[in-house]
Amino acid sequence: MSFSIVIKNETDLDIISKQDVSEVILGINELSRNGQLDLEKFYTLSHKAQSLGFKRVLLFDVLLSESNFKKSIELFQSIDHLSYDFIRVQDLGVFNYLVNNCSGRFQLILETSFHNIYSIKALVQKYRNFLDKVILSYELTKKQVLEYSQYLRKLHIRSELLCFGSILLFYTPRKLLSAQDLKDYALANSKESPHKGYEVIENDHGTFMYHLKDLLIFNELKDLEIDKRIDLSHKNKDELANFFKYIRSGDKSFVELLSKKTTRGYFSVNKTDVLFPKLKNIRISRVDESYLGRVLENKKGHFTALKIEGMKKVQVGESLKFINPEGKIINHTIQQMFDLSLCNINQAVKDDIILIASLKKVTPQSKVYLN
Amino acid sequence: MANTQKIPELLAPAGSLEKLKIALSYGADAVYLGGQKYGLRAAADNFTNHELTEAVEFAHSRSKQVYVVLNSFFFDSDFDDLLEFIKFLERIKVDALIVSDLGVVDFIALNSHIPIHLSTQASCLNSESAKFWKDYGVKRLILGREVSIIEAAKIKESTGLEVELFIHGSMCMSYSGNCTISNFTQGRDSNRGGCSHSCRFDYDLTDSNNNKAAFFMSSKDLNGLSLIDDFIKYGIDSIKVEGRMKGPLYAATISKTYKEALNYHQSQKTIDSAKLNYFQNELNKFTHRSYFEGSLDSPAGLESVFDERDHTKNPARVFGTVIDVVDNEFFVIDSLTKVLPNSYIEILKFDEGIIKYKLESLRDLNDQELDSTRPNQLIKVPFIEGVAKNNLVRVVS
Repeated sequence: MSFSIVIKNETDLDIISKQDVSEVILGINELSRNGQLDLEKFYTLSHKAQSLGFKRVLLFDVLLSESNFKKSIELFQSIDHLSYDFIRVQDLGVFNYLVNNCSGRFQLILETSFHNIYSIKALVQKYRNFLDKVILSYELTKKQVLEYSQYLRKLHIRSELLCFGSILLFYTPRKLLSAQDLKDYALANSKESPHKGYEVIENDHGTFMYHLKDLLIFNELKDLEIDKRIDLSHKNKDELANFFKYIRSGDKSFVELLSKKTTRGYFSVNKTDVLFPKLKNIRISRVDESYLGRVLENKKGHFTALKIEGMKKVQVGESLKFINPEGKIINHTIQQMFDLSLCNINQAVKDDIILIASLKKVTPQSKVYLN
Repeated sequence: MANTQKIPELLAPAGSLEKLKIALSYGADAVYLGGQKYGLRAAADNFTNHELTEAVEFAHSRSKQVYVVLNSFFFDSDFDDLLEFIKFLERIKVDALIVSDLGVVDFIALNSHIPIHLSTQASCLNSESAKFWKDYGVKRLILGREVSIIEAAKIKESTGLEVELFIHGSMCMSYSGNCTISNFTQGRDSNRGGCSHSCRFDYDLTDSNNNKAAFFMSSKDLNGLSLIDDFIKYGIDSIKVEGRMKGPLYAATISKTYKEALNYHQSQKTIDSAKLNYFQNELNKFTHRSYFEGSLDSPAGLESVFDERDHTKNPARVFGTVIDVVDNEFFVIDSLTKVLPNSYIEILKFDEGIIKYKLESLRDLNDQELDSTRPNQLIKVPFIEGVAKNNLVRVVS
């Protein structure tokens, strides 16, 4: 078991000092989304972490605008490079700049997008010599994590997954709590859904909102050869200490002591697109084959107006199939056909509007096909 | 720094074939649209393959462009049919593909010659990020909505890539591609087309001292009309309008208004305040949230939050589309709403100008007089010179 742990103070270091931790992640407030360390504190913790035998990861995970880029890079370059062993980045621009202009080994956060092996391969085939580790998305399933981490291991690139910590839902550069005259930490309860207690944090980088539940997949990751990250940077020290007690004892009552409920996220299965077919009425979705057009109006006892939209033409005597928005199918053979001037016509083509007999159960937006 | 006077491409949304024809007829130079898979609007009609073919033929016959979105974050299984779809798109000669996933960018670059435009979903915010994507074959960057016009010009200059910026429409509050509220709370992946717009919800917020109800994550709508001069001055290649889910009146109005504004600027080299007011007034004639200029000029500030539910009241509403014109006799409107006799309507012409008309009486196709119209009813109106098939008609109060 190998942990990467976000550290915010010396107490955290004391807690993990005798644990199976391979590296500590240190966030400076200017370079890290939720970094809580100034430079002096960073150096102090870095030094102490090194003395305890931990590898040190400098977290540089802010997204940077063109205007802020130079300033942040200059700050990064001013940091003593002996104070960290790896640089962890998310912005692909920062990553691109650093691999071309700085020495060092990089850990790249792939928690946004990169939900397929193609994207991971496209990245590592080009940058493998610079990569120590990639941080996989916690939206992946176990099957995906297994496959991707095995692929990466063959290239001598480590992989990591969040195993315990906050799930970031939202990141904006705008100051959303200040806009409401609120302080830099608030809880948000949705008034339109049952979701209560989102943590919202504002700092110089913008506003961040976290899931109601923390991700906890420690047990599920036990048998996987990947690094497990613990990020309790918003929690009190007890939560970290309790976690390691739990690891030692296996006492599941630890979960009851946590400040938030926990979830396994999508580690077992990700079905976040199964609802998509229900977002629209597929009965009136156009099916290309034999498509003729759609019904504009049905005036009871008078006419049904159709707009010819497909690539086909239609003529008197042809059999049509109507599918209405409820899914009912109505068949009809054209006996007579009129144009908008109510003149009799024998055939109509694309973009024409035609009138035929009024048909029961045929409603506007019904789709029309040639039988 | 670029200082050309090239007029940017006007890129409009096309949620359906009908809206595509409307947008292009009213002046858009290009449209973006989604096929049945791979886009970010699962609830939109989206285009079948026959419709895609027709869309490209329609656009190319008018020397206009069609860009197809494949900008969801892909799962492995999505790649199974991708090659077939790409080859189909290549055969029908679409002009570019809009992509956000590195795996898809790489796949297309290896298997096709169709130009790749990087979707705003990839949140490309700086020159170094642009260079990263350029190395993978991207030809155009649809920059993050946090990027200003001046920053976009710098990115263009440092990479040689085309740059595209949103100029109008709804805004994600989050960095695009970095929001998973919908994924974890509604079970619908926002980055695969299932966004449930939780950011528009009302929330109770509590800090250590205060409690406040607010739509705190809802953004005002972008409106960059008054910055057209800067878009041109800084050589932005394409200005894009959001809104594939919005209706035909929106597609018509934004295309017509922005095209007229661009044309006006081209001829006058500026847009005076009276003309700007006219154009802004047109952009107020459909439902929208309060407008702001996003981060186009400076980073979006505290005033950028749309802390209310209701959209702004619009002085016009869509009546319908002219579905046919019988010369010197009548034209027919496919009505989408209830309209009473003596209402004033405005018919949006494809070229510049609007025809205003008082509907003294209402008649259906059988020439029967009506007390009012209803949705999905064909209404006969006496012939008016200048009215053309597919013109949009709105009712003004």
